[in-house]
Amino acid sequence: MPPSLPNFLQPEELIYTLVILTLCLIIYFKTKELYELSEHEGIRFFRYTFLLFGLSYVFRFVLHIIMITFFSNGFYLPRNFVGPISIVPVSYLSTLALFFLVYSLIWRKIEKRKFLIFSNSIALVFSLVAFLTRSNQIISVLQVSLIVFIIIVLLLKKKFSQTKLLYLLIVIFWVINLLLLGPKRMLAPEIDIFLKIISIGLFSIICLKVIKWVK
Amino acid sequence: MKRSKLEVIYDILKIIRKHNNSIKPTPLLRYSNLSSNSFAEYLKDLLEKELIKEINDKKGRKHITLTDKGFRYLEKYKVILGFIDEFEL
Repeated sequence: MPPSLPNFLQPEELIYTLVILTLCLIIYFKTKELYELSEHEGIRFFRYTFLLFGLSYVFRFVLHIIMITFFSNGFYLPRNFVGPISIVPVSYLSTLALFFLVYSLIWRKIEKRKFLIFSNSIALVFSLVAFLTRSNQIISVLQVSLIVFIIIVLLLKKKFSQTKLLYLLIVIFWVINLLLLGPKRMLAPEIDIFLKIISIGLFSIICLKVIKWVK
Repeated sequence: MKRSKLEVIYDILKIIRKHNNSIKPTPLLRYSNLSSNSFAEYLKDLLEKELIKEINDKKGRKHITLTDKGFRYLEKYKVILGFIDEFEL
């Protein structure tokens, strides 16, 4: 019999994370030349957004593995161990990704230095909360407030386009992904897989749009 | 209507290319439809971004030419604009 992955490694989570990471890295590297030529702030922060999302999904996977290990085996994981390698980076990187997505859309109207100080401060506060509570649910709730902010920003721009809808869905699905981390005792596996497929679909659409322009 | 920064850069680079990739600063200023101050800022910016370079001819007169990156900018300009428009950046 061929060797199989131990359950706690969650092969579907690993594949899901690798697919999202690959799509994010394709977006990041494919837009490198456009940014280097134009040095356009919108393109710069668009690239950062997807790089940060890719990294967020990697640390989300690490957090997921830690939680599964904890719930399956009843290991006690000290805060000093869990924080720095999973929930703090997840919280910090994903919060910045949400902010950078907004900034890529409204960079002409906001001073960059002030924005960077503000966004990093909020991301640090969220990370501190994550460190103290070790709760992905609390971070999800905090990030919902950012989504409300994103919706307001998207609505303030004149037309609500397909691209904006994609951005909105990507951030909503990120928060759902974060909220549903762990053993998922309340969630049917079919729904979990369905949510993952939608997430991959959303990133794929953005990736294909990018490739269409930079091929 | 005020030109965007990307558009001004495109216009300047296009003027240089149109003049067989070698033009003196004074005619470039005239063709680019910018104030002296704006032109000086753009020139400095383009040199820093290595889209153009300055060379001196045998008589020591300064000429401006495109770099490979400058040519690439001209090639990719429409793609850059399309990309910005598509992703609303």
